Amino acid sequence: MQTTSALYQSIIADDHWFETRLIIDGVGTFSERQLFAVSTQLQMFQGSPTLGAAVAGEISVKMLDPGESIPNMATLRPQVRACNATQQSEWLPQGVFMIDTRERSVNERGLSVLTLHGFDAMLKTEQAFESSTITGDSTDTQMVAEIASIIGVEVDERTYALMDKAYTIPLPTGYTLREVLGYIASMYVGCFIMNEEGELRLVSMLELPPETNYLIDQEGDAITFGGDRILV
Amino acid sequence: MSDVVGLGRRVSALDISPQFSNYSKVIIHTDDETAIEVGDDTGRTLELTNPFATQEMAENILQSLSGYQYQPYDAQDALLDPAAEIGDAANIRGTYGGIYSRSRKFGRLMSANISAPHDEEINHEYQYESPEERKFTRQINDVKASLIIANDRIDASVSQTGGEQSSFGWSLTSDAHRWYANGQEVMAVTASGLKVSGEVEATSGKIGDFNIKASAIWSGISSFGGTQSRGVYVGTDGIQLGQAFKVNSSGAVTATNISASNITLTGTLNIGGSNITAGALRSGAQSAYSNGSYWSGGAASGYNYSAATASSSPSSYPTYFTARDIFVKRNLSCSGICSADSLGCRTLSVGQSTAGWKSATIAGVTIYYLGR
Repeated sequence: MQTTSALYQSIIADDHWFETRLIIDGVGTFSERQLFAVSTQLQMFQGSPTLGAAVAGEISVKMLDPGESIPNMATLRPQVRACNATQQSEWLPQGVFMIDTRERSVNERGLSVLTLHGFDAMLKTEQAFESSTITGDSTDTQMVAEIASIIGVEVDERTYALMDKAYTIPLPTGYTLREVLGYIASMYVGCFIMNEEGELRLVSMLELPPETNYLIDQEGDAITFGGDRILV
Repeated sequence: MSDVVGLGRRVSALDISPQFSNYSKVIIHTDDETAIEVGDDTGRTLELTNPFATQEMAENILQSLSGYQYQPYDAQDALLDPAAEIGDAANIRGTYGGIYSRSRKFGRLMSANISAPHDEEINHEYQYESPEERKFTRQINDVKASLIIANDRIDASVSQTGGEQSSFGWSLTSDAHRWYANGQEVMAVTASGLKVSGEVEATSGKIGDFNIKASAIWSGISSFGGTQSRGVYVGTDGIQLGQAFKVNSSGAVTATNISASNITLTGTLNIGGSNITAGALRSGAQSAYSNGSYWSGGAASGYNYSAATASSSPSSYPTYFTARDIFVKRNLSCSGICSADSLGCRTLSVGQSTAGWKSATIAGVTIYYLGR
C-alpha cells in the first residue's frame, strides 16, 4: 500500500471521487479535460500462478492530441488524487511507463485523438546481462541493484528487506536481465514488478498479512469504534 | 509488509475458486534434466525453474511455504483504493486473497478488476486433450527426439521406434562435442583433437604431416621411388624411407646399412658383384661340379682341391676349392697369380709352380689357397 497523507485518508473516508492527470515528460501535464481514457494493467504473473516471473506493466491512453512533438519512448506518469467538494489530496503515482506505440486519428466529433500504448521499465530487462561491475559471483541483492542500474531505475526498499538469504548468483552470462530477476524472485517465492513510482520491486506471495476478521456491516465494511476496527 | 484492503461488497462480480491445498513438496529444475526435490507428496507440489538453485534454497522455500494457502479469486469493477498495490491483500465479501493482477480504469471511481489467478488445470476434472496435443503425442510416440539446452551443455538425441532400430545423439558441452550411437561414444572432439571409436573412411586428407590418398599415405615422398632425401611413403606399390630404405611390392629391398643378428638366405647374396650362394662363394657364372662349386670365370685351370684346412703345413691336399676352404683377409694385394677374363671375372690360375699357400685378392677380398 502506498503511503498516503492523513488528508487523503480523511477524504476517502467519506463522499469523494478521484481526479486523474497524466504527465508526459518533456511535453507537459494533461488533465481529465484532455484525457478521454486511461487504463493500466499490472500483474505478477501471466495465466496460472507462477513464481519467478517479471512481467511488464502496460498503459493505454486515449487523449486529445496535444499537437506537440512527443519524443520517442517518452515517459508517461499517470497520477490520481482524492477529492471532495472542498479538498484535494496529494497526487499518488500510478506507475511510470514508456511509450511503445502511438496512433493519431479523428473522432466522430472531429477532434484529433492521440492513442498511446506503453510499457513500464520491466520491458527493458529483455536484454542480455552485461556488466562491468559484476564480473563473477555476486549476492542476490548486488545482482538486483546492478540490474536496476542497467535499466535506469531505483530499487524499492521493500525488496531488500525481503531478500535476507544472501544467495550466491553466478555470473549469468547468456541470460537476460528478466530471466535473472525471475530466478532471484523464485528464490523468495515471488515475482518482480515495477511499482507505482517506477521502482523495481520484489513481491513475495508469502508477504500477505495473516487473515483477520473484523466486525462488518451489510456492505462488508468494517464497523469502527472510535476509529478502530473491531476484531472478532 | 503488504497491507489489507477491505473491499466489502464494492465489486460488481466475484468469482472464487477453491483454495489450493498446502504445499508439501518443492521441485526446482536447474536444467531440462536435473532437478532438486525436497518434501513429500502429501500435499501440493511447487515446481520452479532456476539454474542457480541449491538444495539449501529448495529447503528454505519449502519451509517458508509451510501453512501457506493460495486463494484464487476474480473480482470485477472493484472500487479499489488507488493506494493499493500489487501484493497487497484484499478482503472481498469474506474472501481473503492477494492482489496479484490489477487492471485499472482511471476515472472518478478508479474501478479495477483484481484477481489472484487460478490454476486452470485443477478445474478440469475431466481430462481433455486437444487435437493438437494428441497429434503432438502421436509424433512423440513415433520418433522420440529431444533437444536439451542447459546452462552448461546442449544435447540432442533421436530414438526411432519405427523401421530403423537405431539411436543416435550428440552432446555439446563447454569442453567437448561428443557423438553417441546406441549409447556408446563413437566420436569426441576436444581441445586435444578428434578421437574416433570405430571405422574411419577417407579417400584423401591429411593427418599431421601425413597425406592420405587413395592408395598411399605419405609425407615428403609422394610416390614410390621418389627422389626426395627425407620422407616416408607407404603405398600399395611399395614402402620407402628417404633414399636409405625401400621395398617394392615384389619384395626387392634397397638399404644402405643393415644390422642383423641372423639372416637366412634362400637365394643369392651379391656383394660388390660377387655372389654368395648356398654352399659356395663365387663370381661370375656358376658351374656346378658333382662335389661343389668353385670360383671361375670359365673352366678351372690347374688343380682343384677339396677339404683344405687353414694350416701352413696341410697333411692332405684338397681336390676342389669349396666355401669352407677359403680364408679371407682384407687389404692384401694380389700376389700375381690372378687375372681377369673378358667379362671382368677374376680367375685363379693355380698350377704346380704355385705349390704352398698362396693368396689372391678379388674385389677387395683376399683368398688364401693351397696350391701344389
